[in-house]
Parts: sequence; structure tokens; C-alpha cells
Amino acid sequence: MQEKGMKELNKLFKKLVLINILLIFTSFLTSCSGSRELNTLAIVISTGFDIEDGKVIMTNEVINPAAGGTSKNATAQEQTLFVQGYGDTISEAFINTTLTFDRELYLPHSHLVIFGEELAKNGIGPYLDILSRNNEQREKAYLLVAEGGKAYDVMGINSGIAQSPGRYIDEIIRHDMFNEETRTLTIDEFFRYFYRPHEEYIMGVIKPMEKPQISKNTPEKNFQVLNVQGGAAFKDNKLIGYYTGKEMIGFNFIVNELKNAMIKFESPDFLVDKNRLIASRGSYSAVQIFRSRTKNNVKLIDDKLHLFIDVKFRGVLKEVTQGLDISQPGVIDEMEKACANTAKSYIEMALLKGMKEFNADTFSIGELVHRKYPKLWKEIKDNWEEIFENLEYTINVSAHINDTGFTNTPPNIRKGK
Amino acid sequence: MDSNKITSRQLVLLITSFGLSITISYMFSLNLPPDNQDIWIVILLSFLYSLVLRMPLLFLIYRFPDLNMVEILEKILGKALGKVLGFFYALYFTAYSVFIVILQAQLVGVNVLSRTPHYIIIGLLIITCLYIGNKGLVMMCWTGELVTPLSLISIVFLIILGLKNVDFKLILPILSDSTFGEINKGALMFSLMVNDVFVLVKCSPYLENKEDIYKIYINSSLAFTIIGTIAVMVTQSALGIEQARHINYPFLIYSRLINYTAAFERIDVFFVVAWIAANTGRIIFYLYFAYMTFKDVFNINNGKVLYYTLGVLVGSISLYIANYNIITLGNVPIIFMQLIATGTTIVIVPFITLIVYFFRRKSLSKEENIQNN
Repeated sequence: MQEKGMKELNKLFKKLVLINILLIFTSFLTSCSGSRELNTLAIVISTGFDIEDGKVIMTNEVINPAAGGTSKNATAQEQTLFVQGYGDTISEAFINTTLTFDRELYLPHSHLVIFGEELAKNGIGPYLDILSRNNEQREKAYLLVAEGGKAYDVMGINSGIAQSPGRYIDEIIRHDMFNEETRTLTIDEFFRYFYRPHEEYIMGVIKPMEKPQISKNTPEKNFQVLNVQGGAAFKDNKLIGYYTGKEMIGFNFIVNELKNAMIKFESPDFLVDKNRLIASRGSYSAVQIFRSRTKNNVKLIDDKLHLFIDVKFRGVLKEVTQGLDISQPGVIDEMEKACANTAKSYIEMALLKGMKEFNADTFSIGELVHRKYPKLWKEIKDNWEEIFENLEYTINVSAHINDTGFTNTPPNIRKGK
Repeated sequence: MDSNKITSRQLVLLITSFGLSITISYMFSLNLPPDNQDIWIVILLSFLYSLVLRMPLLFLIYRFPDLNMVEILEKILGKALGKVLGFFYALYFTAYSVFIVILQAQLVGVNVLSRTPHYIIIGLLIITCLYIGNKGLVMMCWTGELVTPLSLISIVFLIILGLKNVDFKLILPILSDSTFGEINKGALMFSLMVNDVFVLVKCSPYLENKEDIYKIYINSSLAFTIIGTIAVMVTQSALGIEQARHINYPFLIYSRLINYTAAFERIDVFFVVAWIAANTGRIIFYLYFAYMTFKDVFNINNGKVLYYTLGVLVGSISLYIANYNIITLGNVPIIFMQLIATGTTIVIVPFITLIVYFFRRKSLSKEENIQNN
């Protein structure tokens, strides 16, 4: 009996020892060793990389907790601080921020990575590793080039309603769905294109612009806004130039990424019944595209590659200033043709700039050849740059206007005779 | 249902989730020939290779359903050679346990507990494994039946949620950049990198319906091949062929890309938890297999001391290696060692044993008859 009791006691003792061990280990899991409390972190919302005298300058926009998110007295500019670090590498610049700043940078909330133009022209190759190696950096952060200046030149500007400059840029970029004159890649999208041999890539751009001050409560005559129009083209990891806003519409058409864009176009003059004009007229009409689809194809014609770009889009008539009676038969058809021609011209502008000026396949045409003619691609891939420069192409664009809004006839012409 | 037996469903779930956990952890398949967009074909083809290469092993356990691996080897190859080979298997299971403990410590360390020392991660892991393993193989399978469906569902759920980031054009053209030889070499290597047939081998003496051995293997292997193929396809299509190869844990990054407005993002921790659940199960089983095999080789009756010693040994070696080495770099020596070890244990030894069996089958049948009478 006594022996049985001892055995049970022994069992109970073993269980207690095990429970104690587990409790001790559990206490380690509270991360007391190497913990990162919120009041020791500097939450970064945007990061900029520049190069000066061979040194990397890392500029970080950090949320200023002292300003208080709800404080009515804190201005948008005071919501954040800017912290810089210098070094030969980005990681050195990153850690060097702690020499002058009292908190450790925390990157998981950083939505933007901006490269200064000088750094981008020198080559971004040495600065990419940190983007995918660091587990704090989110893959969905946007990559941008500061056109015509340093990254830190654009980082302190907030002319929007957002609470901080970083959020302001982030919101503008997210609104590219309304205006396709830009294309901003996230880090994960960038790396999809980055490794493709014999092909190049683009990045979004951001540049400051002077605007007149409308508010009379401030003494300054002008103020700065940021503009994300255009795209930065890279070749051999170096910035080689920029696509304009219109070229970026063409670019987005080619890569089948155009979701929503405004096409401004001139309709033929013969459509205007000048006798019915009752007010002066403008030169353009505008269609807002809400659906677009591009099919790219390459064919071998007489042993030469020929690129076919077929675009079909649908849109809503947003504005008619030319005095066109769109209720008349055939007018909409002619407008659709004019709209398609304008879209075609944007596509051609982008394609020619890529082919002739940059001589860089930023459109993934090489990948198209690879998919369609894998054997041929193996033979020609090393000469792809030359072939791409002189590639023959055919662009077909078909536009459909599905809606004319609340009015059928614009106010500057009289309806009927 | 006999609670002292292992059911076919339990084994199908265990083998599927264990195979999937190793396939999607560091996606070693991306570095196998032809290391391009055709890897998904390699994985599909590996199903056939796996089936053919595991036939001798499956046949042996089907033929001797009540014997464990060491007993089968001793019966066919003789006591001495059986013991030597059994010892080799025990070493293999121990080494493999070390490998998957380090894998877990490093994956957890890189993502969720980046500042937690390895000794805490590994220490807790080994204690958990020893505690669950202490309850015996049947109990482990019953526990696995509860945990593995959650892991499998989580992985499938993550695959579906990440489809928004997938561009299937990235895995084109199909079969144009690979040769027949490369595809087959890759499929052969893949089939040798996954070793979860041992779950079936070790559990077969406790199986409720021993006739199901082939069916269990085919069903589980097919399920894991299909889910694994889809996981690899979507990962390559979301990250890009080359970037997926540059990343240590591609499926982890795939799950980090999931983003449905600010309310539903950064759910990669789901993957880590699901993966930890499956891989912890794997460690528990392989540690227990090592213990069982050592016990059978040395005829130890009370193996508790051996079991705990083995656990501490695996934990210590893992800790030492994890502190000084990185095992997920897809480097050639580790892949080569895995191929040799798994190839030997799953294919070569069972194949030789099978040949000997066919030569000795009459005498073995006589022995069996005498024993039965």
C-alpha cells in the first residue's frame, strides 16, 4: 500500500517537474530577451535611397508619436520625422541612423522605396539585395524614382489630405487606377521582371512641381505638389530615361495593364454642322476607358519577326467640346475611330521610344517570342537588342463607346434644324 | 473502430501533410533539374518514379505485415546483416530528425521569432516531441488525425487566397526549355527527396486493415503530389521563376503577398503555424522511428532512457548545427547527402532484400509453416 502511494507520489512529482519546465520555457516566449516594445520603435512609412560622394544616404520618414494622430494642433508635416543614415551599404546606413536617432527603425509599415535619380543612373544593382533579404520589408511596397532630384527632395512634401508625406505619395500611387499615365511596380512585381534575360523594366516616377498658392491665408505665392506622371526606363540596371504620361498610357495598353484611363481626341471636322452651332466650340472630346484588353502576338513573316498588338477597349463619353451631334447616325462610329487612332498613337509613341530611343525591351516582347518560338528564341536571344530595335509591328485598336452620360447633344449646338 | 489500431485515413492524412510540409518548406524542387518553369511537370512525373522505386519496400511490408523493418531485414538477410542494416536505418532516422529540427528552427527564426535564440525554439520543440512521442505510435497517429487536416486546409486556403498575385503566363512555355533527360532526372531526384513512405512502413504492424497498404500509399502520394504541384506552380507564377529560386522560403513569401485591403493582409503567420504543426508532427514521428529502430536493433525492453537520450542528442546536434550552418541554401552537398541516404534506405536496401527474398522464399515459407504449426 505504502509502495503504491510512493509510486503515485513519484508520478505526481514528475508531472510537477514537467509543468514547471514548461512554465519556465513559456516565460521566455514573452520575448523579454531582445524584445521590441512599441515605445522603442521608429515606425517607418517611406524610405529613400540616394548616393552622395560614393556614400549611400538612407532617408526614412518615421511616424512621430509625440504629435499624436488625433491632435488637432499637429500639422500634417509634424506627424512625421525624417531620419537619415550614411554608409557604404544600405544596411550600414540603416544601422547608422541609431547614432543620431533615439529609436530603432521598424520597416514593416514602409509602403514606399524611392531611389534618387543619381543613384538610379549609376545603377540600382547594389541596392536591391536588402529589398528581398530583410524580413521586415514588405514585398508590396512601391518602388519609385525621384525624377530630376534626390529621394529626400520629394519625401518631405505633403500637399494632400493624408496625414503624412509618405501616405500622400502612397495615396497618389494607389489612384493610378484612375489615371494610367504612370505605372508603379511593387517590389514583388519588380523582381518578376528583373531577372528576365535580355529584357528591361520600368519603375514609377515621382517629381515635385510648383503650383500657385490659391489660399490667401498663407504668405507664399507658390507651393509644391508631387506628380507621379510618367515612367522610368532602365537598361542594364541603370536609369536611361523617362516615358511621358501619354507614352505610359500606350505602355499600359501594350502590357495589358490598362484599367481606367481618359483618352482625349479630335474628331474629324466634317462631323460638325456649323450652321447649328450656337456657341464657340473646342477641339477635343474625351472618352473614359473602363475596360481594355490587349492581345500581343508575334509571327514569322518572310523569316522576320513581326509584332501584332491588338487592343480592344470600351469607354464612356465624358466630354464633347467640338459641337458634335452624337445622336446623328454615324457620328459615334467616327468618334470611336478617332479615339482608337489617338490610343494607337500613344501605343506607337511608347513602342518607338522603347525601340529606337532606349533600345530596351521594357514591354516583355522578348518573353512573347520565347513563348511562341522557343527554339528560335534560343538562337536569337543574344541579339535580341538589335532585333527589337528594328522590329516590324502592326497595331490594331478598336474602341467602343458604350455610354454617353446624361446628354446626347452638347450645349454648343442646337438640337434639330 | 479499434483505438489500439491505426486507421488507413490517419496514415493518408499524415503522409500527405508530411510530404507537403517538406515540399513547400524551402521548395527544394525549384533547384532540381531543369530548374525552370517546367518544375511542376517534374513533380507530377515524380509520382510515377516514387511508385516504382517504393514498390520493393511496399511489397516487403505487405508480405510481412506483422513484422517491423528490422525484423523483416533479419528474417530475410540473416540476423547479423539485419542488425547492421537496422542500425544504419536508425542512424538515418536520427540524422533526418536533426535535419527537420534545424529546418523548423531556421524557418521559425527567420519569420516569426527572429530574435529568439535557437536553444529556446529547439528546446521547446524537443520537449513537445518527447512528450507526445512518449504516448506511443498509435496515440501519435490519432493526434495527427486531428492536427493534419487543419494544416492541409490552411495550405490550400493560402494557395487560393494568393491567386490574385499569380500570373500563369510566367510558367510558359511548357517543355520547351527542358530536355527529356532533365525532366526525368529532376523527377527521379524529387522522388528520392521525399521519404514519408516510412510512416507507412513503421506504422504498418499497427494498421487496422493491412490489405490497404498499397491503397494508402497511392492515395496519399497522389494527394500530396497534386497539392505540391499546385503550390509550386502558384509560387513560381506569383514570384517569378528566378526570384522563387533566390528565396529561401518561397511559399512563405507567396503567403506574405496575400493582401485584400488593409483588413486582410500579413497572414503569412497562418502558413508558419500550419507548417509548424505539420513539421512538428514529422519530427515527432522520425524521432520515434529512430528510437523504435535502435530499440529493435539492440533488443531493449524498457526504452524510456534511450528515447529521452535520443531526444536530447537530436536537440543538441540540431542546436550546434543550427547555430553555425544554414541548411536551406539548396547547396549541393546537402541535396547529395539526402539523395544518397534516402535512395539507399528506400530503394537500394529494400531492392536487395527483395531479391534475396525471392531466392529464399521457399525456405522462408517453410520456416513460417514450422512456426505456425
